[in-house]
Amino acid sequence: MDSLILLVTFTVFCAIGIPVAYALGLSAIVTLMWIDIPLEAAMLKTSDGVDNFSLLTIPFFVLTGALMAEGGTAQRLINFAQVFVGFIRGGLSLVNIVASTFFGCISGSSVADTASIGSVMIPQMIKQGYPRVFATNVTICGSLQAILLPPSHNSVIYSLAAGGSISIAHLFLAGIVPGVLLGIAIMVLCLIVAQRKNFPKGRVIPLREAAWIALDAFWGLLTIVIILGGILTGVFTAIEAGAVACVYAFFVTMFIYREVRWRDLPQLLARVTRTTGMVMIMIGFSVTFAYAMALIQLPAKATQLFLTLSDNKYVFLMLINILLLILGTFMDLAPMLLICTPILLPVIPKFGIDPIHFGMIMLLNLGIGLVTPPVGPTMVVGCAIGRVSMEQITKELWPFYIVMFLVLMLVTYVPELSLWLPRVLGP
Amino acid sequence: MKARYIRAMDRLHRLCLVVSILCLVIMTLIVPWGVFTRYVLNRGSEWPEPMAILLMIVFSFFSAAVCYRDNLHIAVMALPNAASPEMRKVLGWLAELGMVATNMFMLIWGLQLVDTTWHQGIAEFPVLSVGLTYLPIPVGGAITALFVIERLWTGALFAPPDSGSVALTTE
Repeated sequence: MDSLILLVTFTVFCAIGIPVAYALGLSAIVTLMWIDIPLEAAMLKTSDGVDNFSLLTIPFFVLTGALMAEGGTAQRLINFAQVFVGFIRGGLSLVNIVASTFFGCISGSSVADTASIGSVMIPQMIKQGYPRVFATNVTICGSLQAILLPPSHNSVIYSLAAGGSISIAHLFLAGIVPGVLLGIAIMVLCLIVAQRKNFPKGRVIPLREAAWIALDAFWGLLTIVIILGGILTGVFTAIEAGAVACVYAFFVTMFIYREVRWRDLPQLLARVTRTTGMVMIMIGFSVTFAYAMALIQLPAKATQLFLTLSDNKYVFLMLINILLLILGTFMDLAPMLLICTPILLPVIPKFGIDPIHFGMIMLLNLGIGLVTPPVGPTMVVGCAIGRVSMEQITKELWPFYIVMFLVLMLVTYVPELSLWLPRVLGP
Repeated sequence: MKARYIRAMDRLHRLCLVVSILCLVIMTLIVPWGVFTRYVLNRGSEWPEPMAILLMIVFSFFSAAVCYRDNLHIAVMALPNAASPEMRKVLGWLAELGMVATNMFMLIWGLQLVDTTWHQGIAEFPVLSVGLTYLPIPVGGAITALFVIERLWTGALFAPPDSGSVALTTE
């Protein structure tokens, strides 16, 4: 009955349109009242949720990404990617994906990636004769790499939803191979489509010009070195790497690239504040929600339910994939991570699954939801930039869905893809 | 009267945004300062981490209020979007009443928490009260409740985000 109250009230509150963050808090409060727990404890838990040093990673990386995105880094990374893959048939689609890989390593956000890379690449691809729908689909699917690659904001949210028991640095490292694998898989698809549809080749960039392009992109690329290098060498924690990257991004944007005017800075800061504000309060209330779940032993009941369905690890993983793919279609990534992690994490030790590996499975599953109708935010942004409707792009997205599903299967059933780097390089 | 209330809420919204931005900027500066003192001055500062956490709490509750007024919080809009105009209005009122309830809980029980912990000092900053760290909860709740009243008064239920304030996203 207690579990029913929590889940039903949460579903009803969400359905009537209460913001998910507040629906989490209100349903937790109702449940705590039902089981007679003092409500001061609820407020204490909400405060505990945001009273966490690791949480600072999110505003820091969002600010770094915003500074770099508006400071002209995206165009320079695209130019840099052009050097490597631009001359191949269908090269611009490959450039789009490689630039997304680089930019994902700075922004950590799929939507920011689509907005920054897409606004440059989609018009350029259309101008070169690529179909508008294909250009949009490549952009939105390529940007999903940012969900996995460091400094993925969602890896931080997963770590926080797991109660901080999983190292952010290990999650960052774990995302590298699956993220790059996703990028390569989409590139292979693009190559096949390019051959069949005879997409144009780009020019080979001469060595001298390539060197200038690399030099121009150097300052942007150095951000990746600061973030990853700082964490891997143990010079910084992930939080400190975020803050140092922010200061560095500010320096590069305002004094080297100089594409952001000083008078635009308050607007940029206001946007970052709003972005982060949405997530912070959700994390705060999700801790209260998780507290209520723990009190009514919902994770234990979920474990029991899954064990009743099957005690086979592979069947369990397939069930989780199906469940998360469906949930990810209807709700955004961050709230799903915050709700599902405390329920599912206690289940996985029974099946011998590593929580870092499980994190990658969750991120990729829910990440695919970002490019599915009706509420995929990456899809919405991509459609706005590509000036195409969701119906138009969904019809031609199926080869991308197949590729992403194959990568998901590999990430799910080959744990080494996620666990090898944290084991070898983990601080 | 209504216009005056909306103007007051505009000012309050701006104040919350300025406070949040200041917290963000200060947090971004003091954490690297901690790294600088550790590696360059060879004496790590103890205060940046707890200070950043304090600012984070203020930032979280004030920026949440800003996001509410700008209609930026993530919500599931399938049912309100599919409903008839009359039903949509009913759902809008129910959703806002839910918001009032949550924020009243934050105000009342947040204040109780502040009261209970007011005489305890923070270990790193003994002059500051633990209650102060919980104060953003009732203050944030009260401000958001004022914004909810404005929304109910103006009838701007389920309004789309203001295009001038559209945020980025973490996803």
